[in-house]
Amino acid sequence: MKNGNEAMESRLRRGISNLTPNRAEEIFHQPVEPADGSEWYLDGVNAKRRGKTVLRSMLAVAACFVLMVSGLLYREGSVTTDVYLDVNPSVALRVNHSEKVVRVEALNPDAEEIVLAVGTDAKNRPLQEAVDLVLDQLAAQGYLQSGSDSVLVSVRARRGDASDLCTRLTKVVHDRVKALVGSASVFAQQLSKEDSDAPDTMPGRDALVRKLAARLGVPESELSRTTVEQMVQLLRDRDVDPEDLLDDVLDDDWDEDELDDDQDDDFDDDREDDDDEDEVRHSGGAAAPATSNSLPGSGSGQSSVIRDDDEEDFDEDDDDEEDDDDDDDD
Amino acid sequence: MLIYAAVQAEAPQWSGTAPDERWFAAIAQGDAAAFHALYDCASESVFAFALSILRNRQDAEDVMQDTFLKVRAAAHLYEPMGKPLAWILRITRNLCLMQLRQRRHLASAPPEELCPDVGFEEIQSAEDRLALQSAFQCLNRQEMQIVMLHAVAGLKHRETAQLLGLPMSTVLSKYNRSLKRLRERMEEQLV
Repeated sequence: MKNGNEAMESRLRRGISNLTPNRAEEIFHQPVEPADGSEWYLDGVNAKRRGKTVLRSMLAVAACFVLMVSGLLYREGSVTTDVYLDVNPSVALRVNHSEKVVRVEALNPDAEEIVLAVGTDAKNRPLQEAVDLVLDQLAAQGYLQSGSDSVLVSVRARRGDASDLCTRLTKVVHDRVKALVGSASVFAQQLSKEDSDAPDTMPGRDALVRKLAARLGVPESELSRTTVEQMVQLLRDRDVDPEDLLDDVLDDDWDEDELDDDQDDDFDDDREDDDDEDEVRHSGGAAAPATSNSLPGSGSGQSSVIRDDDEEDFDEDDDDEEDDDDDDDD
Repeated sequence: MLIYAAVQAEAPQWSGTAPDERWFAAIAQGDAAAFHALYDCASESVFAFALSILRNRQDAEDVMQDTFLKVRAAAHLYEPMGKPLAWILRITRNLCLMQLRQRRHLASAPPEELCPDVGFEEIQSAEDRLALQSAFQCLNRQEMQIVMLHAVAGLKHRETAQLLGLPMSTVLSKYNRSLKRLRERMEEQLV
C-alpha cells in the first residue's frame, strides 16, 4: 500500500505545484497592520497576546485557578464521565475527574456475572485498569471471541468534551481485546448529555440502535435483541460505513506500523495555549490534573477553532456528500 | 609574525524544504529574504489546503495570498512551538471559513458562481492532471483536506487530526481509503 500511496502523493504534489501561483513579491510589498493577537483569523492559533488581551488572559487564568482550588474540595466521589462497554453484556463505569472509577454497574442480566466477577477490584482504580478487568472477564466468560465479537465504547462527559477520552479509550480497548483474543473490532461514540441514563437502559447500545434504525429505516424494536457485532454486520450488508454513524472505528485493518511511523516526538498537544484555554473553559475551572495512572496521552482536549454556522455547514457538507466506498473492505 | 584571523559570523540560512521558526522574527522585522523563503516552503501547502476546502481556484489563490499577509502581520506574535506550518495552516483554515460565510451570502446567485472551478490545463503531466481531477471527483471536502494535508503539506496524521479536530484513527483510515479510491479511479480512466 505504501508504494502505491507514494506514487499518488507525488502526482498530487506535482499537480498542486503546477497550479500554485508565485505572488511572493506582490504580497511582500503590500502594507500590513501589525496584529495584536485578538484578531479573528488568529482564533485557535497559538500566538502571543498584547495589551488588554494579555491582562484579560491573566485574569481568566487567575479566576480559573481560584475555581480549581475550590473545586478540589468537591470532587472525590463525584462522577464526571460515564463509560459504557457493550458487547452483548452492557457494563457502565462511572468515572471521576481523575479518571478513576467510582463504581461499575451491570446494565443487563448478562453483565451481572461480569460485574460480580470484577467485584470491588475496579473501584478507585484508574479507568484503563478497570476497563482491562472488565474486558478480561468478558473474554473469560466467552463474550469476546476472535473475529466474531465487536465492542462498542460509548463515552459521555457530564461536563466538557469527551472526544479526547473517547479516542484514548478506544485504543486501550482495542489493544486489550487484541491481546486477549487475537483480533479486535472496536467502535466508539460520544454520547450527549441528553442521551438517557435512566434505570434499565443501556445508553451506549440504545444510541447505536437509534442511529442504526434511522439510517436503515427500520423500527428500533427490530434491533432490540441484536448484538453490537450483528448491528455492525447489518451496516456492512447495506454498504453503510460504520464510521458514518460512529466517532471512531478501530479494527484490524488499521495499520499500527503506519501509526508508529507517524509519531512525531516534537509534537506536543499539551503545550498549545488554545487547548489549555479550551480545557479550562469547558471544565469551569476544575480541569483534571494529569496523573501517572491516567490513560496514555491524557492532557488537553481539542483546540478551539472558529465555530460558527459556517463551520457547521462546512461539516454538514461532508456528511451529505456521498462516500463512494463500494470497494472498501473494512 | 602576527596572524590575524577573521572570524565570519554565520549568515542566516534563508532556504530549506520546511519553514524555519527563526524566519518569523526576521519577517516581523521586514526581512524580504526570510519572507520569500517562507513563501517558497509553504505556499503550495497553503494553496492545496485552501483548494481542498473551497474547491474553487480563484478563492483558494485569494486565501493563500491573504494567509501570507496575515502571517506578515502576525509574525511578531509567533510562539516557537516546533510547528510553524501548522501555525500557518490554522490561519488558512480560519480564512477559508470566513470565505465560506461570504459565499453563503451568494446563495441567491446563479449556480455557476458556486460550482467548483479548478482549471487543470497548466498541469503538465497527464497523469498528474488526472490525479488531481480524480481527487476533486471522488473525494468529499473532508477527505480532500486529509489527503492534501498529508500528501502535499507533509503533515503527520496526528497533526492533521489536531488541525481538523478529528480522531487520528479516522484520519488514518480515511487517508488510506481515499488514496485507494484515487488509484482505482485512475486505473479506470487510463484503461
